[in-house]
Amino acid sequence: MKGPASVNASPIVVVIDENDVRAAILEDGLREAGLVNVHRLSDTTNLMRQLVRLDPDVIIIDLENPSRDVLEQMFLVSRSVSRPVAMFVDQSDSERTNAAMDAGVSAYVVDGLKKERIKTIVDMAISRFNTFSKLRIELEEARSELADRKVIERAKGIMMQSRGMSEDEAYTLLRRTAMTQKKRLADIAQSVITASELLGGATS
Amino acid sequence: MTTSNFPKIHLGFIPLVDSAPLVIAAQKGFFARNGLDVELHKEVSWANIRDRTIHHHFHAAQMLGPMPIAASLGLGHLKVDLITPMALGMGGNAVTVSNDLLASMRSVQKDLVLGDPVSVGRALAKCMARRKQQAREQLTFAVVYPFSAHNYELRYWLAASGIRPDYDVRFTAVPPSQMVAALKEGHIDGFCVGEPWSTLADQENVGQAVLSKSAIWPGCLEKVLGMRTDWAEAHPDIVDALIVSLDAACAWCEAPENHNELAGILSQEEFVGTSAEAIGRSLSGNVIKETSAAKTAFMSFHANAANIPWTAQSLWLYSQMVRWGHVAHSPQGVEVVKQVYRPDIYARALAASAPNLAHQMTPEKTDFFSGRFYDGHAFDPAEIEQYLSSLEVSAYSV
Repeated sequence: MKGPASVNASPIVVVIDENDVRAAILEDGLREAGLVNVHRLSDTTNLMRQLVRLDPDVIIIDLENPSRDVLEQMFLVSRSVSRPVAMFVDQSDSERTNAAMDAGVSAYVVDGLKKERIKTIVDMAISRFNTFSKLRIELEEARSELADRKVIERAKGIMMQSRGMSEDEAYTLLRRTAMTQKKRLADIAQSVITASELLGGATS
Repeated sequence: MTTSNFPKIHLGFIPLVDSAPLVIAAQKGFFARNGLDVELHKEVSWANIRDRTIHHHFHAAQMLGPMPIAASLGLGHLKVDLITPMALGMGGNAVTVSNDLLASMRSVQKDLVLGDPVSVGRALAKCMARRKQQAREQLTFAVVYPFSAHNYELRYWLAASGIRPDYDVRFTAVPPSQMVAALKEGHIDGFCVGEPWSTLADQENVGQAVLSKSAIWPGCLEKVLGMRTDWAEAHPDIVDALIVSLDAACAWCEAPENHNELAGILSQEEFVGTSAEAIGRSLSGNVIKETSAAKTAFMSFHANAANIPWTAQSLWLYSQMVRWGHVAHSPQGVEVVKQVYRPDIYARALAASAPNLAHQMTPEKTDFFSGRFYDGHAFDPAEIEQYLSSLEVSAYSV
C-alpha cells in the first residue's frame, strides 16, 4: 500500500499499449492534463518485473491486449506491488465503464487515489482512444478515396484512348452510368478497367 | 428450422480447443435449429469476457469454471451475480515443463512415469529440493488466469507433492498464445493450460506435457457457460434454447468420428487459428507421450455427464479459493456460491429429452459426481471446513 505522499504528488500512470500512435496521443493528453509521471510499456514480456519497478498508481491498458489477465493475476497474488483494482468497483459509475469499453480501454487503479484524479485520467484515456479511432477511420476513408480517384483516372484514360472521347466526356459517361445502375462511380470505373483487360485492350 | 422472436444473441469465447461447443453450435446449425440467431465474439482475455458479460455486451460467454463464482463473490472486480446453467466439458488441461526441467526430473528419478501424478510430483519435488541446496532460484510456473480450474489443479497437485505454491515455486500469468514462447525464452519453467498449447510446445520441441488435469481429479469440470443471473431470470426461454443447442453440440464434439471435421473448423483463423493437426492431436487425447496405459479420458465434451454443473463442483472451487487466500471463508460466501452453479436449470432445459435428469441430480443420487482425488483425499461438499483442515498445505500454513 502506498504512503499518503502519493495522494498529493502527481500519480504514476503506466500506459500499456502496443499501438505507438495511440499511446503517443494518450501520453500527450495526460501530460497536458498535468500528469508528469507517465510511462509507456510497449513490450509486455516480464510485465511483472517492469511494474514492480515503476510501482504505478494507475494502469491504462487497451482491451485488445491479452496482458489484462496477467495484470489481474498479479494483483490477486502479488505481495510486491500495491494491489490496484479494476476501475470503478463503485457500481454507480457503469456509464463511464461502458464508455471506456466502447472506446476499447480499461484501467486499474490503486486504492487511495482521489476519485477526481482517477476520473480525469480515465476520461482522458477514453477521449484519446476515441480520437485515435476517429483518426484511423478518417485515414482509411482518405486512403480509399485516393484509391477510387486512381481507378477513375485509369478508366477515363482507357475510354479516351479506345473511344476517342475527351476527358470531360469520359467522366460524364462514367457518372451517368453509375447513376442509372445505382452503383458507385469507382465501381463502374473498375468494371471498365476489368472489361478492357479481358478484351486485351489498353491498360494505361 | 423454427422461427422465433428471440433477439440476436451475442456470445463470447476464447480461442482454445474447448471453445468447440460454442463454435460447433453456431457452425453446424444447432443454435439455428432451436430458433437462436447467435453471433460469436472471439476475445483476447478472460477479463474482457467477464467485463463484456457483466456490462451486457455479451448475453453469455464461455468462462473458466471459477469465474462466475469469483464475480458473484465480488473478487477482483465489482460484485455481480452470475450463474452457470451448464458446463461445457471436463478435462483438457495439461501441465507442461521445459525440456531442461524434464531432463532434471529424469536425472533425479530414473523410473519417472509421465502422466502419473505421484511419480511426476515426486520427481519435481526432488528437483526443487536439489535447486534449494544449490541455492538456485525457484522454478516459475505459469497459468493463464487466477480464477481458473487449471490454477487450482496445478496448486492442488503441487501441494499434494509436498511443494508449497508461491513459496517453493513462483506463480505467474502468461496469455495462452505467449506460453510456448515464454517457455522457449526461459521466462517460465512450466505451465498449466488448456489445449492446444501443450501440444504446440511439444511440436515446437520446447517442452513436454507431463500430466493431465484428468489424472489429478477426473471429475473436475473445465469451461462453463456463464451469464448474468438477472438476464437468465428474465429470459428463461432463451437460456433453455442455449442449453439445448449447446448440449447437442457437446454430444457432436464428443463423437470421435467428428473429430477430423471439428479440428478443421477450429483451425480457422476466426476460431482457434492453430494447425488442424495439433488440434486433432488434442482431441485424440494423445497429449502426454509415453503415458501409463490406464488413463481417464483427457477431455470430455459430453461423456461422463460432463455438462452438468454440479453444485459440489462450485463448492470445491470455492474451497480452493479459500485455501489459497483468494477469499475468506464465511457461511454467507457458501450461500452465494450455492446459487451460482444451477443443475436445476440444466435439467429444466432438457426435460423434454431427458425427463429423468432432475431426479438423478438430487443430492442423494450424485452417482455421476466423484469427489475423489488421486491422492486419496475425498471432497464432501457438506464438510468444507473439515476438508480444508485435512489438507496440509494452504496459504495459511506456510
